[in-house]
Amino acid sequence: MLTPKWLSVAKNEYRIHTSSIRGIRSYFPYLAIGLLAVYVVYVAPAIVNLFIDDFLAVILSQAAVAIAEIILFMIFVYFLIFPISNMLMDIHAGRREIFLAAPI
Amino acid sequence: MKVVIRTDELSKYYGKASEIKAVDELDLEVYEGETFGLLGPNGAGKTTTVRLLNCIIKPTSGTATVDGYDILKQETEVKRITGLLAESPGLYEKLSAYEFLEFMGALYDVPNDILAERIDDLLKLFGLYDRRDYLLEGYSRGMKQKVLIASALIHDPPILFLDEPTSMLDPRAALMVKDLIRKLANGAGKTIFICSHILPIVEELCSRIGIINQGRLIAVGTVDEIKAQTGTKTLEEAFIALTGGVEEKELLAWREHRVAHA
Repeated sequence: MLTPKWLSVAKNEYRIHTSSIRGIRSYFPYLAIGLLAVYVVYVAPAIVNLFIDDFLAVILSQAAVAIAEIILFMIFVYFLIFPISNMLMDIHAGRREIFLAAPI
Repeated sequence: MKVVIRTDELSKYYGKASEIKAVDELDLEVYEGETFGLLGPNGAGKTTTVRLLNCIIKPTSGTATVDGYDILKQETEVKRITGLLAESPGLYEKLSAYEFLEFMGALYDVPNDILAERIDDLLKLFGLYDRRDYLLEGYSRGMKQKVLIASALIHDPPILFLDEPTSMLDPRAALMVKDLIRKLANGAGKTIFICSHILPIVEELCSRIGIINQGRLIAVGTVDEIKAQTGTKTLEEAFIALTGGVEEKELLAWREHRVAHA
């Protein structure tokens, strides 16, 4: 059985980016999802409860629109632009040749 | 003898007016099972020829067939039957040898049920089995070259292109790689196309050689035939005679010029 090419490339990238935690690589996704679930279910609500009054005041103020725009822009830069540009900078000519020479 | 690589006026030009002729009307035939060496000085067009024959770049004009497949119309088929060791290969240093070969096997559509066994066989053949789970960043240059040759063999191609296989290696590692190439040629019966500017390697390994200079093939034949053609005693002398080596006098001409003006 053949693995789809996109899955092979994705698996390879995952291996490269997790090479420093090779010991826990096999269960790292479950660990990450577990930690995220704990954060979403327990930690985040607890933090919000602490600041809910101030938070509501900000949300209902005129400044909310500007703040939301800034936050969305920062999310866009940190989670999309930085990783993509870093990845493109990392691709060396020799690695491109590996892909170009393969029957993809 | 069956011709497996045939080029027909294969050309690759660069520049707006096509003034840089990397490969110029190359006509060449390579036979099945032979080890063919393409010799030439730096910038002669060796790597461009290999890239054209592996469908990495497209020719400006002319064409070629690799085991009967046209490099212009049947790219995928050509890529499936060839293995390439590039001149400056990109190795994923953060992967282990096993992981890298597994990735290369997946790119070349090696079925999962035979891939693991083939990787183990190759790692044993190249003496890397004990270090298969070590990251490649910790490997020596010779060991990395072995991994790259193994990756070129992962899909068991009948035709192998090796671009400067020993140029970056110390003499010990170069000897090791030479032995491997010899084993592949004699034991596995593969057609091997070697590009190099290192004459002794080509002389030792190749049954026939071609000499390329400024994109044009200027001689082809066995080492003895080329020596006879040029009336020289060694391949080095034949190479210099054909490619026009610069005389020492010419190199020092600038000094004499300066002295005359002083």
